[in-house]
Formats: sequence, structure tokens, C-alpha cells
Amino acid sequence: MKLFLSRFTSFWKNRYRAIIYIMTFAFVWLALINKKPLDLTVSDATQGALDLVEHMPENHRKKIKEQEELLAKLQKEESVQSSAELTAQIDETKAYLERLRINSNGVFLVCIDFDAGSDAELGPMAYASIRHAFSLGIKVLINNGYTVMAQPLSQMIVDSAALGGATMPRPYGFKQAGSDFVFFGFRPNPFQVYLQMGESVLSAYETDYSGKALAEMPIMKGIKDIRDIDGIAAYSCNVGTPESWINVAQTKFNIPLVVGMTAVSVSDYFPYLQSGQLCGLITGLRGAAEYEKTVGAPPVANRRMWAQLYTHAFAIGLIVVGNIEYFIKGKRAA
Amino acid sequence: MRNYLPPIICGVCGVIMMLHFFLPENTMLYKTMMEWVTNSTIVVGVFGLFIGLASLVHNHGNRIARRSPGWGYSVITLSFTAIVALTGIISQNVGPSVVSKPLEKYNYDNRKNQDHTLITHTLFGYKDETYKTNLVAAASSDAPEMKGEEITVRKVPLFMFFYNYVIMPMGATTFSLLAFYMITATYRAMRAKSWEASLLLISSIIILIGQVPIEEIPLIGKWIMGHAQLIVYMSLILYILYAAMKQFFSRNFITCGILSASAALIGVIWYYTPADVDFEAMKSIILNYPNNAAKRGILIGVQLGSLATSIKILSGIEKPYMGGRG
Amino acid sequence: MGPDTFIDLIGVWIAALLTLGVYSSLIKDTFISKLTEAVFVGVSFGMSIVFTYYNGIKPKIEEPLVRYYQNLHVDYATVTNAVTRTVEKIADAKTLPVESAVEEELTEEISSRAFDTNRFFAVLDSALYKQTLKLQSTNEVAVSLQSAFASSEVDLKDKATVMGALNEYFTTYKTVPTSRHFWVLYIFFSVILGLMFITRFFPKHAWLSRFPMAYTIGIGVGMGTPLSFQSQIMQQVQASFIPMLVRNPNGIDWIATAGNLSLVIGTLTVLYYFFFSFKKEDAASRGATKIGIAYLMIGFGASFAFTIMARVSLLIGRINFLQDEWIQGTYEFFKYLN
Repeated sequence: MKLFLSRFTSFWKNRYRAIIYIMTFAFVWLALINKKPLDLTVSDATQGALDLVEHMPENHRKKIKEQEELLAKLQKEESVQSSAELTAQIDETKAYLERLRINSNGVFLVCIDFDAGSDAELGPMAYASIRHAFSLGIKVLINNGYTVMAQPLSQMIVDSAALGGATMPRPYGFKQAGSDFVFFGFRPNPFQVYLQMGESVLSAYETDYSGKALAEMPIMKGIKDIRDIDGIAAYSCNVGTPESWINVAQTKFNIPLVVGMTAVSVSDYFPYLQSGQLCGLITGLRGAAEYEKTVGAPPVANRRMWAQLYTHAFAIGLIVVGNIEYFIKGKRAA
Repeated sequence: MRNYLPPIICGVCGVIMMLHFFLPENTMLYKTMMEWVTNSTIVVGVFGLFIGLASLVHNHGNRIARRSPGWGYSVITLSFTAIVALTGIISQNVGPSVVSKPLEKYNYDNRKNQDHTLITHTLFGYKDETYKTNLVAAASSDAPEMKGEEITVRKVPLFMFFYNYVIMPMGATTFSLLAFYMITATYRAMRAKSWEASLLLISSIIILIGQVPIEEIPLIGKWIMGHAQLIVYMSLILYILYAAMKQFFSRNFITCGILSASAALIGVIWYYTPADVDFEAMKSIILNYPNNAAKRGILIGVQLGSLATSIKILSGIEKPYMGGRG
Repeated sequence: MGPDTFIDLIGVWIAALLTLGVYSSLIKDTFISKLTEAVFVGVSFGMSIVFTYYNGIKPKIEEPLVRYYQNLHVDYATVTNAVTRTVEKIADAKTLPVESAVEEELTEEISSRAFDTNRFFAVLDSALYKQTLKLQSTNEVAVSLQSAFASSEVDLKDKATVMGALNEYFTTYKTVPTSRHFWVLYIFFSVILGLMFITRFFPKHAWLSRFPMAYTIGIGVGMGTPLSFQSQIMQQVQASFIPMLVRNPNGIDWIATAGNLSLVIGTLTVLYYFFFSFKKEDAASRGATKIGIAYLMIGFGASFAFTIMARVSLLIGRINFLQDEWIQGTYEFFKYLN
């Protein structure tokens, strides 16, 4: 027994890396064979992200109603005592109301800012989010952030989502570029571009990703600047993009913002969630799986959670084994 | 001039950019300034790429010239850089127009209800033909719905072939290597050597378990989920009592007493903890309260530090740009 | 999901073999792993050159300079023609889709706003002679003018007024305006700054690289500081002012109360821990520091757990590719081949 233990110990000492690598690979491979989706409870952070899109048409209609009431009030004031300022305010309100009525279910901006390295986690959440918006009839604008190579990847995601969602609980048909969505593409120096969106979206992005003029597109007739956007979702693998959006969209213009990040940096964003600067926070693969399950999108991330489950169990097992080894060694040393 | 002009430029540009937040947005001055700043920083950034390129060519070129060990790999690196850069820049449609037709009698019925884009592509060239993706549908006003009909061929540039089959897989794979290293680090480094390390260990275990539906593991999963409080509180109490015992045998009676009292306090907290608090609830509590506090402290501290550094840079006390001899 | 044509199949196999080649570096640094690394570095650098060219050099340097040169030789009549046709087209364009009689009324009211001639001239001037306009192509004139007028508040619905103002514009500016020189000047300024950057490689002239760096750093610091101060300091401190006693319909919510207390104490002690400027020798300071360290350890534990999750997700993605697209995709490709 002692000989067996000492041989095992020396074998483990020399080969533990290779054994761990092989076991990790095996756990993930075998777990992915299971195609059954998991039943996951939705966390508060993900629920916030779901609620933003789910209630967007309702909130947009509330905005229209508020503007109509404001217009009526201003016109009543004008009939009593008119002034140049009041006339200008009425004109502005009328123009805003006109724009709100064009995209009557709301406008949702999705910032896809990840490349192939983070596609496994962020791809499913961006895809599910866009499909969720399409199934509610919300108009979608898609742009990119700091990652240069995000454009081809986001093009693929948008193309797939726009083909139609027959299998969704709220199915939708074919979505036309220009009237149902616009893909702006990548622009260098995104922070300045986002700031410029505050003044005019058309001057920030004159054309879409393929060079077509934005001014000709029906969807853009209802969007003058960032205040005409009802909600923003930033799916990013680097910390610059969500911070830029928090600084520009949330702090400056107070637009509801949802962030989806890879799990590496997501724990750093909980303070923003608690302070109300973010409405929702989608935490890596688990958050993507929760989102998919709730909206009924194809279960890409959900299937991958099986592998996540077994790998986590393996990691915990290794922690326990390592600590037992540590305590035994410590006892022997004592 | 070489020494005093750069700090002046830095300070003046910085102050002007800070003051621009107070300009009204629809004036020509604001628009002109924003455009000037945006475009000039892009152009200056572009030249940074040239520096990177020169550095790459210099390093690998030296290795090839001196025939250092591994110079063959440098040849491969430089040749692929040149091939990809040339095919991308010269033309998006480079190469002969070889067409690869889709397979005959391909069974498309399987794919009718699947939600993905059917794209076929060849190696060289690009030609718009009818296909059922949104890119063409955007151009035509009567875009047909996807009915599982046979699709025709769409050609994609060589450049996109490199992107889809080299860059994307390899980028993802390089990052995924870290998974193996992380798991090995979990075994090697996660030891309860001190009370700080133990806190780190406990918090990471609770979150690792809370992030996945542990009840799906056969045989033991449901038991672990059902006895979350027992596992967590009992481990804590036992660990603290073990530490208290060690202190007792080292004759540190005060520390032993404090540790025993902490164990008792944890027992009381356990008694009052609602029964529905499982690993997921514990994970939420840890993320929303102690983790939040730590990250907020770090965030505020880092931002205060960067604010101080920004003021130092703008006032010329710190000059990170003063490289270069002369 | 899998490959549809033969070339796709080749591509998937190349991707799979490169993936396995990278994974072979876990075992040992073999020839294959070094080869795949060399290929990856080469291809990704080539990609970044192409993306930088299309997003940086071409739209911001090459095209504006080429157009500036072309526009210098453009006949004034061509300019007038292109602009007149475009403005006519915009003025003739259909009004926004209306859903009810109310909107029709609104549209009419908006179109009766006073026409601001000066603003019209300013927008036209800026759009015409900025670097983006290619005067020989009517389409590009149309794109630039359409976006310029759509993003301005100049209303073009009264065609007679608009064409009158346009005639006045061309009468006042008898030749092509000189403001285009202003726009091209900044390109030269930026290119010169960029070239100064490259002097880093020449030790004798390396001091010139300080200027573009100082400019870029100054702008970056000036842009980023006010907004980050507001969102990352002010709003975060504001969010720490939370109630110490949380009530729910059943009485006191002890978990939320304890959590809020813990949040405030944790934030203060962590901030206190990061004050390295003075010694913390007394018992209270040491105690506060220890509490801060405890919170930091819990936070780092959470980060570690999430990092494991993130890295494993990437591995899962790759193995998903190997299973679904490579193995299953190849099988399906040959299964349906007749």
C-alpha cells in the first residue's frame, strides 16, 4: 500500500499538468454531447436587461403620450400669451413627437464590440438580444466599439437574426435593412463618435457599413440624435466601450444602458448596477444562457452551460484535493 | 523648444478639450473642433501602425538575415503579413473567378427550421447573385422569405476566407489556452494558507457553485444544492474552530477566545438565515454587497489616482511623452 | 452549421488543424505549435493593416487629398449643376409618412417655419468643401448634402425659397469657395504630426516624436477626465449613500440591512487601505486595514471565480466548433453527397 501510494504520488507530481489538461478537455467534450437545455433561474442583473427590451414599446408609447400632453399644455399657454421662446418650444416638441411616431415600438441600439476571442460568451447574448428586439417589433441600430475586427462578426450576427425567427415564442419574419434595422459598422475613435451622436447620429455615421447613405433610410427619419434612442446595450470584451457608454449615454444623456461582458471583467461592473447607472448586467455565459431561455432564442449558450457545470465541479474537486494535500503536508512538516 | 513646447501643447490641448464640454453643441465652433480632433487623432493613430509594422519587419528581418534559430518561422510570419495585407488592400475581389457550385441533391429539408444563414463561398472573387441573406434583400424591395429552396453560389474574397478560417479560430483558441492554465492554477494556488487566502477560497467556491445549476450533477448534485447552508456554515465553523485550537495549543488564549466567539456568532447567523438561501442566493449576496464594496473602493481609488495623474500631466509635472534623445 | 461546399470544408479543416496545432503547445513547444503561432501573428498583423487602411488611411487621408486635388480643377459650372440638381431633389422629396390627419397638420406647420438663409449658406458651405465631397460624382454630392441638411435644422420644403437662396449663394461666391483649403490644411497638419511620430526610429531626430504624443495625450486626458470624474467618482460616491435600515412589509429586511451596512463599511475601509501616504500604526488603523483586506479578498475571490468561468467558456466554444462544425459537419457533408 505504501509503495503504491509513493508511486502514485511521484507519478502525480510529474504528470499532474497533463492529467488535468486531458481531464478538462474530456469533461468539456463529453458534456457538450448533451443537447438538452438547462433550466436556469434568472438573476436580477439579467432580469434588468430583459426588462429594458421587454418594456421598450410600452415606455415608448408613454413618451409619445407625455409629449402630446406637453404639446397641448404649451399650445394652451400660447393661446393665452404667445412669445418667440414658446413658439420655438412648440416647434421642437412637434418635431420630436413626429420622430417618436415614426419608430412607434421604440429604437434599440446594440453595440457589438467583441472579436473571435470572446464570441463564445458574447455572441449568443448579442444574438438573443437582437432577436428579442425584433420579435417585439423594435427597430434596431447596430454599431461597433473599440475592437477593429468586430465588424465582420457583427455582420454575421445581424444577418442571421434578420433572416427571421420562426422558432421564437413570438415569431417574426424577414427584417429589411434600412427599415427595420441599420448596421453602422466600425468607426475609429468610438468615444468621439458616441459624443457626436449626442448632436446628430447622421453626422456621426454618414453611411451604413456598406456605404449606403443613412439619410435615405426610413428608420433614420425618426432618429435625429441619441435622445431618440430608447435603450442601449453594449456587448463588449474590453473595458473601454462600456465605460465610454456609461460616460456618454448614461451620465450625459441619461439613456437606459445594459452591458454584457465576458465574465472576466463583469464583477467590476456591479457597482454601476447598484448605483443605477446600468439597468442590467449580463454576466458572461450564464447570463447569455438565462437570456436565451427567457426569450426563447436558439439555446446556444444554454447547451454550453453543461460543460461549464462539469468543469466547475472539476475545479472545485481540484481545490478540495489541493487543500487536503496542503493540510497533510503541513501536518507532516509539523 | 524641444523641452518646453511639448508640455505647453499637452496642457493647452487638454484644457481646451475639458472646456469644450461647456460649449453649446450646435455651434460651428463646436462641430469644427470635434471634427478636427476626431480626424487628427485617427490620422496620428494610423502612423502608430507604421511604427508597429516597422518594428515587426525589423525584428523578423534581423532574425532572417542572421539566420538565427527559428528564422524559418519569421519568413512565414512576414510572408503571411504581406499576402493578407496585399489581398486586402489591392482589391476586395482578387484572384481568378473560380466558382465552386453547391452540392447537387443536397438535402436542404434538414435546414428549413434552423436559424442560421446559409452562405456558400469560394476562394477567389466576389459576385452578387441571388441569395437569401439580408445583404441582398436590403438592395431589392421584394425580398423573398427563406423557404428552404436551393441557394445559389455566393463568392467571398480571399481576405474573408483568411478572416473566417484563420483569424477567428486561432484568436479564440489562443485565448482558450488560458482555461487549462486557470484550472491548473486552481489546483496549485488555491490553498488556505492564511485567513486572507481562506476568504478568497470561500468566496470563489460559493460563486463557482452558484453560477452553475449544481443540482443537475447526477447522484450528489441535489444533495449539495439542498444542503448549501450546512456545507458553507459548517465548513466555516470547523475551519475557525481548527484555527482556534491551533491558537490554544500555542497558548494564545485571547486569540483562541476571539476565534471561538466568531464561530459561535456564525452559528447564530446560521440559525437566523432563512431556509431558502441556497448557493445562488449566497452568490447574489456576495456579489451585491462585499464584492460591490471592494470593487467600488477600487474604482473610486483608481479614478482619484487617474484624476491626480491627469492634472499632473496637464500641468507638466509628469511628462510621459518626453521620450527620445535630443 | 457545418460546411456547405467543398471550399468551406477545406476552410473548416484548416481551422480545425490550426486549433489542434495551438493546443499541441500545451504538451510541448513543437514545430507545429510554432508554425501555427507564426501563421497567426502574420495573418492578424496583415488584417490589422487592412482594417487600418480602410478605416483610417483611406477615408481620412487618401480620399480627401485626392478629392481636394480633383476639385481644384473642377469647372465651376459642374459644381453649380451638381449642387442645384441635388438641392432640387431634396426639396422635391416626399414628406415623411403620415399616420393620421393630426400628423399632416403637424407637417404643414413645421414646413411653414421661417427659412434661415445664413444657416443654409453655412451648411452648404461646410458640406460642399469638406474633404468628403467628390464634386464630379453627383451621387456623392447627394449623400453628403442629404446628411448635412438632414442633421441641420434647415427646412427645404419651400422649393422656391430654397432655389432663390441657392442662386444667391452662387452669386455671392463667384468662384469655388476657399474654405476647402481650411479643411485640407488639417489633413496636412495631421499627416505631419503622424510623420513626426515615425522619427522615433531615428535617434538624432527622435525628439520630434514628443509633439504628436503630447498632442494625443493632452486630447485624451482632456476628453476623458471630466466625464469619468462624474460617472466613476461622483455617481459612485452618491450611490454609497444608502439607508442603514431597510424595511419590508413584514418588518425589517435583515439581509438588506446587513448588506447595506457591509457595503458602506466595506467601501470606506477599502478606500482607507489604499491610503499609503501615511503610517497606520495604531490599533484602529490596523483593524480598519484588516477589514479592508478582508473585503478585497472576497472581491478577488469573486473575480477569480468569474475568470475561471470566462476562460472555460472560450474552451467550450472551441470544442463546440470541433464537435459541431468539424466532425459533425464533415460527416453531414459526405452523408449528403451523391
